[in-house]
Amino acid sequence: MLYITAALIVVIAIIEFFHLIKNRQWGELVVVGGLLLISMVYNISLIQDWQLPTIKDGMELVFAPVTTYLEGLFK
Amino acid sequence: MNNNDTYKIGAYTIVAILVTFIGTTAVLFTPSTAAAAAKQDAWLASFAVLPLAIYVVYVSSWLGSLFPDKGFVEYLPLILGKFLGKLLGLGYILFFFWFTITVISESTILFYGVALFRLTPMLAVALLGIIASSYAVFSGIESISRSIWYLWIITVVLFALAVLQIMPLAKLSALLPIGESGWKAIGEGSLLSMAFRGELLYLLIIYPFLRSRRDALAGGLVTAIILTIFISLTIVLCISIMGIEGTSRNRFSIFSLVDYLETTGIKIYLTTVWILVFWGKITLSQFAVTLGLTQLCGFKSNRALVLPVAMLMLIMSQASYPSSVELFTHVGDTFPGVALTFEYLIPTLLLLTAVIKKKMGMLDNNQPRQTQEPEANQAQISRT
Repeated sequence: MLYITAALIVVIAIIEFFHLIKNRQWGELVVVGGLLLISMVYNISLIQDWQLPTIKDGMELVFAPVTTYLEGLFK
Repeated sequence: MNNNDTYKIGAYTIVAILVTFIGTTAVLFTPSTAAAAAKQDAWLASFAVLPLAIYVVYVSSWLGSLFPDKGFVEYLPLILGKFLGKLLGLGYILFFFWFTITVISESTILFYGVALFRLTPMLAVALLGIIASSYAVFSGIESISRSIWYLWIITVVLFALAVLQIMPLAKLSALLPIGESGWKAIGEGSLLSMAFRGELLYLLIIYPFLRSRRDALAGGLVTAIILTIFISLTIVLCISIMGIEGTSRNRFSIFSLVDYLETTGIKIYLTTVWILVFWGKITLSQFAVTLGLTQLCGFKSNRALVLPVAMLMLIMSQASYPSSVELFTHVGDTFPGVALTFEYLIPTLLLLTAVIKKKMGMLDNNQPRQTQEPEANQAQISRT
């Protein structure tokens, strides 16, 4: 299934890049390229079973202490 | 994006949108955490956060009304300056991104938890869901809100049918003595409710597409009351039928509740309801991310971003939450903290800053909008 999503990312990239280059939308091209690149990296990491940091880890690092503090108010 | 000039969302549709957006997960996950902390008084936890919900509605409506024609991410630089405004805009996009991938994971875990799917790969289920939501985001806010309006009618009817059949089984004596857990336990049990109710902040995202501030206020307040009733009713039914232990151990309490019925098939239409509302919630969150990113980058249309954002969400939902245990632990540990920051504190500070700047004549909200509606929406409007 992960190979199918990798193929989907490539297909989306081809369609989007063709459309954006044709319309000279360079800003959109950079953002779309960046998003698809991150998607592909994480897709490969899932295939290879690499443990890359995700947004979940960042949110936990910053906001778990806030939750602990809130829970402490009611203990 | 939007049909901002032609299509405006009224109060009834605001209620449908917000109840779908918040109720989907709140009704599902609140009973277990509230019952674990507040025991038989868990149903009071939902009422305890009603003033907070009303507060979020007022703050969102007031802040939105200061910039009625601009998107949330668009006017942040006007309040905080270019650098801080863009930075906070990025923060909100990341918040909604995290929120969406969490909801995608919750939906797939629910579908496997109630044995709707067993052998189908989880990624395939999530992929089908994201295709449906991407199509809606691509079609624009008018299509989303009209779809959710019809979906809401079906949802209410099916949910009411399920509740009416379950009600005769309830033994209300299980809720006695009322208030025995103490206010601290009720407060602890209401933390997740507080986080879910803060999602009323979504009013800020859809504000430029609303008919008026009055509609936003009315819709928001009615939503807050409806949600309080829905969630409390669900908790009362769960505790009075399954007991405190049974409710607190079960992640999908309402689905376990229908197992007590002799009538077969109730679970099927309850599952149908949750497939529909999860689609609504994922669509609305995905719309917020795509719209926010478009506004942050100053693009004229969001069409180019819909599919890349959807793919990134799909992959990240798989990479972030490999198991249901990890998902539920993370949500319990993180969501109240995130909610307090992004749904309560920051909007309040933004409102204070905007009001002070307006009083001092330093608020320039007459700059033209950067973003325009996509061609698909324009065609749709011209047809109607």
